[in-house]
Amino acid sequence: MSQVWNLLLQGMVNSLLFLYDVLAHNFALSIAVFTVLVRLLTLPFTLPAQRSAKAQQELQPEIEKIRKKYAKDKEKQTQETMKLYKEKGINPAMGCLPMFLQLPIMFAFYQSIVKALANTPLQMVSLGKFASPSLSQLVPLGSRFLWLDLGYPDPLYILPILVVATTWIQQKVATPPSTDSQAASMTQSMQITMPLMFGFITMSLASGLAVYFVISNVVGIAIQYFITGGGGLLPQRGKKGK
Amino acid sequence: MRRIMTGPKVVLWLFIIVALLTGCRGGAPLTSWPGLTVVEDMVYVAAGAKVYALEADTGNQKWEFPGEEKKGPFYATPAHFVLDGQSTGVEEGLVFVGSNDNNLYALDAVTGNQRWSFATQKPIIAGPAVAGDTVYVASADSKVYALEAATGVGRWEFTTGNWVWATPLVADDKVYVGSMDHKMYCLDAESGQKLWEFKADGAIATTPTLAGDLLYFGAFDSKVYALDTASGEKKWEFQSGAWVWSQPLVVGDTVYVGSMDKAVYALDAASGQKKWEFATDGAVLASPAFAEALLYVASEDKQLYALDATTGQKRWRFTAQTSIFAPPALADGVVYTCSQDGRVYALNAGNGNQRWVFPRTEQ
Repeated sequence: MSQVWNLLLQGMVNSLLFLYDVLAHNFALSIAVFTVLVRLLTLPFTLPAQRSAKAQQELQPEIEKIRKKYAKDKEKQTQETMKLYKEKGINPAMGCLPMFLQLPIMFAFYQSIVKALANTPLQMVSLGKFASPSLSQLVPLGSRFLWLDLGYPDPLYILPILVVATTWIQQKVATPPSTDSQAASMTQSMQITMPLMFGFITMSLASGLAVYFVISNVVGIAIQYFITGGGGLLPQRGKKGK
Repeated sequence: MRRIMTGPKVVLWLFIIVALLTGCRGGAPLTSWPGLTVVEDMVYVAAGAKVYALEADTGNQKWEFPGEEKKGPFYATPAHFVLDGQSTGVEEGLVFVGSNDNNLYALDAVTGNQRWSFATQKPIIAGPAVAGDTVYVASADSKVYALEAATGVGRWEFTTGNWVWATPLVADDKVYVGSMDHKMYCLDAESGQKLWEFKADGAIATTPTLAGDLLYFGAFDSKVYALDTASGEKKWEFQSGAWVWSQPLVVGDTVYVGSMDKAVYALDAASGQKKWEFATDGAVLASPAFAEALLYVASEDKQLYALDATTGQKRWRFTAQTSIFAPPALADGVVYTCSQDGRVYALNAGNGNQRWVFPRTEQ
């Protein structure tokens, strides 16, 4: 298992180094391009999840009816809901399973950025084990970009703010308006907590990772918008006047 | 149903955050490896957040820096210096140690008390070099500094094109230092003026070794180079299988050098031809040490090997609890080594039997 993981990491580290080589030794640009590529490559995992979410969203009125009808029998409520999903050919697990499948890719990407930005001897030893000999001449990577040293946190906190903003927008776009007040309240709480938490973490992470978060969020927002519309961010498409 | 779906999503988010906090942050406790220096009857060790002075015979601790109540940043390999005491008439020992907090500290060798410090702009990764009354220290701020050893007052500084992670070598009024900008520089020790530079195909993090009129060093292009010290001209190069971080050791007509390809090589000093190689199970970052026809090689595979220097045959090996990246040191029939967990071992150089370990296991 660790060999598969190392192979994945090796591929990603060397892809980043290759992009750095061909993109005028600009590591921020390499991260941005690689992020877009990774998001596109993981589309087969994310699209079914987003389509499943959209289908579930469209069934909300019927689910609400079941909820009201069996308000005092939670077991029956669940059974009927699952029956409805089955009739409509929706697998609710599709909302989560693809996320689990793409998690290793996300983690490998985080780790490969951290590895490529090695700025301590032990990190450099680790990079030395993954970088191919033909790309080793690029090490250490030039980590300056605008006001940033990509191996260190953003001193101006601009990237953490962008991470908070884009994470919030992505969650808003990804989450359809809910008719259930309890669920809506929980979702709202998550939508505030998660971006702040990510922003807080970003304050102490290498700013190269923050670049990844921002680009990844922007791509995610675009994909989500074209599939399911504005979610909770904008009035839903085709629902005006109802 | 929405409530049913919310649970797993929360778990997923938390999973991501935990992974970020544990796996992706640069704040790992160890950023480099320990280093030790043996001077007469003392072993000075920089291990993680502390510098220790230990009695070479017993391993008993004489002092630690910073004091018990404090935990410092990472410290690089110490260097020892004897102040001639012209003004006081009393010789005083100083221990110089660079730190991850950007400072070079001068400590009293007897008490461990701080005498002075000198601030650079970025972490000091490598140990300093001392020659005459000058201490030379390199920093990740891309500079090499020459300081008055007694006071820490700056004499000159030289700027390279990238981080300097290697200890400078001072010999024959020249300072040789490798930089992560891929260049080996030769500087005038008195003025810091550049005499020549040589560009390798990869970053240089090794301290060079001088033998005769050749300068030997390795680089991240997986090569070992031999340069003419007068001109900086390349005499030969040897291609290993991975980055070379280990400082070459020259004994007679043989260059011994470790590589991250897990091997240690014996090369002909004049031509670079391979005489033999010995494979370990981990990267060899440390410079080998030599005594009594034995070559001592530390490896990431937690072993300290004693090899026949002529044939490369293994004589004995000692297993530590963690990887060994620090170069071993030899004195009076004892080989000292320090593993990544900060343990210092004193071993009988002839057979590898352990004499003492610091800290003591019962502590």
